[in-house]
Amino acid sequence: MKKKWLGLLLSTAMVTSMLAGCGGKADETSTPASEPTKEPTKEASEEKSTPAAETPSDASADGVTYVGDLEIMHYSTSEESEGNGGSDGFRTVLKMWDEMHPDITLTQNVLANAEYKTQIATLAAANDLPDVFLLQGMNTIDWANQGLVYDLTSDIKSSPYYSDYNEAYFAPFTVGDSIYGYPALTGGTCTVVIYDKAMWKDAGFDTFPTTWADIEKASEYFNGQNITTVAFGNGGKWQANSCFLSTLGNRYTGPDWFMSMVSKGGAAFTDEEFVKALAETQRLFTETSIFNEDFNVVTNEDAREYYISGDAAAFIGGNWDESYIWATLQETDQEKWSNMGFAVLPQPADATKAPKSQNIGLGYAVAINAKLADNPEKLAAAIDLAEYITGPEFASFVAENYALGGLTKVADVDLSGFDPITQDFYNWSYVDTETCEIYDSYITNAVWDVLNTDLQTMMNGDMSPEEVAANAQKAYEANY
Amino acid sequence: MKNDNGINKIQKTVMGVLMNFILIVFSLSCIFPIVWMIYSSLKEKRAFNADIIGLPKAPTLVNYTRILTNSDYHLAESMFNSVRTTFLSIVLIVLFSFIVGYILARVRFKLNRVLYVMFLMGMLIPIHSLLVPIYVVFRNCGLSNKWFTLLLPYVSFGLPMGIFLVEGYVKGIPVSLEEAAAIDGSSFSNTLWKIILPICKPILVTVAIIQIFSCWNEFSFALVLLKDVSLQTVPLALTQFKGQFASDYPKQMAAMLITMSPIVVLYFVFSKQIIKGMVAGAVKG
Repeated sequence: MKKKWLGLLLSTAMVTSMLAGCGGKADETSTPASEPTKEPTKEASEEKSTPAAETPSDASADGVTYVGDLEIMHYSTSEESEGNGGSDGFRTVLKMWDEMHPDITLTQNVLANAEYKTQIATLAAANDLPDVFLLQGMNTIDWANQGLVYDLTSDIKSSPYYSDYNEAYFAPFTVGDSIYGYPALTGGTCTVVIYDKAMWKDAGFDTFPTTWADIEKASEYFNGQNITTVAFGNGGKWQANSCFLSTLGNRYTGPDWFMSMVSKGGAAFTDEEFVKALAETQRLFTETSIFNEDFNVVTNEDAREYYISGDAAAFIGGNWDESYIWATLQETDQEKWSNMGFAVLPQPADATKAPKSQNIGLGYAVAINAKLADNPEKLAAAIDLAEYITGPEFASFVAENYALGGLTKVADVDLSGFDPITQDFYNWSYVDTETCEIYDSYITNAVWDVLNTDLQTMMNGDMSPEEVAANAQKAYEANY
Repeated sequence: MKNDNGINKIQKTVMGVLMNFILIVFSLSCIFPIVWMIYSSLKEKRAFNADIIGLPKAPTLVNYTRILTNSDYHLAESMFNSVRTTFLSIVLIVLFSFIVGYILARVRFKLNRVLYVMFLMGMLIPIHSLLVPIYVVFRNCGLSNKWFTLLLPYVSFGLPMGIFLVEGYVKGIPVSLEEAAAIDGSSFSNTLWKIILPICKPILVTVAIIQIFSCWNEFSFALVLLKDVSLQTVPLALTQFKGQFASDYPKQMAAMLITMSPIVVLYFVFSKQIIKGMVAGAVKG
C-alpha cells in the first residue's frame, strides 16, 4: 500500500515537473542575459546597450541575395552566456543578423564546449562540417590541408572592417599566407595574477612584486600568518600549461620560438630556453612554499575560493576566474572587492625576455565549410554572417557592456560607466601589458595531452624537466 | 556447556553488529551521492563552490525555477525524447533477443554457432571506434538527425547481451516441455509465445532492466548522430550546464534530479519485478 502511494506521489511529481518544463516556455526572442539571474554581471551602470540592428529592409544593403537555409554550429549555450560577455555578445549579434535576413533560415546547433569539440571533430572526419562553425586554432592546419575549410584571405582583406581588425588575432587561423577564419568571441587573458592589495601592503609590498625572488620573500611573511601566498589549481592538468607555462615560457624563449614551433621552423621543446622555463616551473612548485600544497589536486575553481575566502593573498588564473572572483566579492565582500589588483607573472631571475607579457588571444574563429564555394550566393551569406558576428556590432556590444575586446578594435571605448576594478582589468588586459600566444591555441591536442600530463608529474617532483621536454618533442614529431 | 552457549551468543552478536555495520556503511555509500545531490541542488553556485559537502545554509529552489522557466534548457523535450527512444529500443531489444536467442538455443542449423559468436562479437567492439564509420553510413543513408536515428544503434548494441542471456536461459529449459506441447498439437509459434515466453519472463525482465539503464544513459551516439537540439536526449541536454571554463554543479544536480524522476518512478512501480528479474539473471545468466 505504502509503495502504491509512493509510486503515485512520484508519478504526480514527474508529471508536474514535465508540465512545468513545457509551460515555462520563455519568449524565444529574449536574449539569455535578460533572464533573471542573481549573479551580478560586469555591465556598465546604465542599461545594457544593444547596437541598433538594421531593419530588414536594409538587408539587401549588405549584398546578401541568398534565400534558403544556412546552418551554424557553436557553443555559446544559454548557460555559457550567463556572465560571459563573449558568449552573450555572440548570441545577441547572431540573433540580430538572423532578424536582418528574413529570407534566410538560420539553423543553430548549439552544444556545450566539450561536446562541441567532439561533434565538430566527427563531422570533420566525415567531411560533413556545417556551413558556418567555430574553428579551433589547433585544428586549422589539419583541416585546411584536408580542404575542409574555405580560404577567407581575400574576403577578410576586402572586408569593410579590415582596417579595424586586430591582426595579431589571425595568427592561429593562418596557414602560410592563407587565413581560414574570423577570430570570434572575446580576447581574454589566460594568465593573470589577481592579488589583494591590502594583504600585500601588510606584507610590505605597495605593488605586486615583479620578481619571483620577492614573492619568495613575501611567502615567508604569509606562511607565518598561515596564509597561502599564491593559490593555483592544476587538478585539470591544462591549467599549468594555459595559465602558467604559456606565459613563463615566453619570458625565456620570446615569441619567435613558439611561432617557429607552430610553423615547424626548427624550434624544439628540447631547446635550452624552453627546458629552463620547465626547470623554473618545477623549482617554484617543488622547492618554494609559494603555492598551496594541493595545487596539483584542486582545480582553478577550487583554488580561486582560497583567494575569495582570504586563505590566499593572490591567485593565478584566466579572465574567466577574474570575472567569477569579481562577481563573488562584489556581492559578498565589498572591501576585498575594492582591493582587487592585477599583475603579470613575476619575472624569473634567469629569464631575459618580455617581462610584462601575458598570454591573450582568441582560441576560435568563425570558419566556413569549403563546400560552400559551389554555391556563391550561400557563400556570400555565410561570409556576411561571419563578418557581422565578429565585426563592430559585436565589438561595441562587448566593450560597452562587459569592457571586453574582440577582433575588431573599438575606438575610444568609454569606460566611465564601469566600476574602477573593471576599468583596471580592461587597461591591464588591453593597454598596459605586452601580449604573447596561448600555447594550446596552436599545434595539436595530441602534443598538449602528453605535455600536460608530464607537467603535472614534474610539478610533483617525479619527473625531470629534460624528460618532460623530450616526451613533448617526441609527441610533437609524431603528431604534428 | 552453558558457558559455551554464552560465548556463542556473544560471538553471534558481535558478528551480527559487525556485519550490519559493514552493510550500513555500504548502503550509505550508495545512498549518500543521491542525498548529496538533493541538498546540493538547493544551494547557489557560489555556496556550493565554497563548501562542496556541507549542508545548504540558505536553501533555495532557484536552480529548479531557473531550469523550469528557461526554454533554452529544453529538459521536458529531452525527457520525452529519452523516454520514447528508450521505450521503443527496449521493446525491440527484448523481442529480437527472445526470438533470436530461442532459435540459436533450440534450432540446429549449419551456421548456428558462427551466428552466435558473431552476435557476441558485438559486445567486444568498443563503441568509440565505430562512431565515425556509423556516422558516415547514417548520413549517406539519410538516417542521421531523425527522431528514430538512435533506435538503430541502441537495438544493435543491445542485442548481443540480450541474445547471450536468453540463449543461456532457454538452454536451461527442458526440451521435453516443447516435445509435450508438440504431442498435444501446439504449433511452433504457439509453443514459442504461449509456453516459452512466460517461462523466459524473468530473463527478459533482466534484459529490459540492463538495457533501460544503458539506453537512458547512452551519450556517444546521441552526441554524434543528432544535430538538432530538439532531438537531444537527457544525457546530452545535461551537458549544457557545463561551460568552457566553469560548471554550475547545483543547477546540473537539480536538472539530474528532475530527469531522474521517470526512472525512479519506474523503479518504484516495478520494484518487485526488478528485484525478481535481477535475482533470476544472477542465477541463470
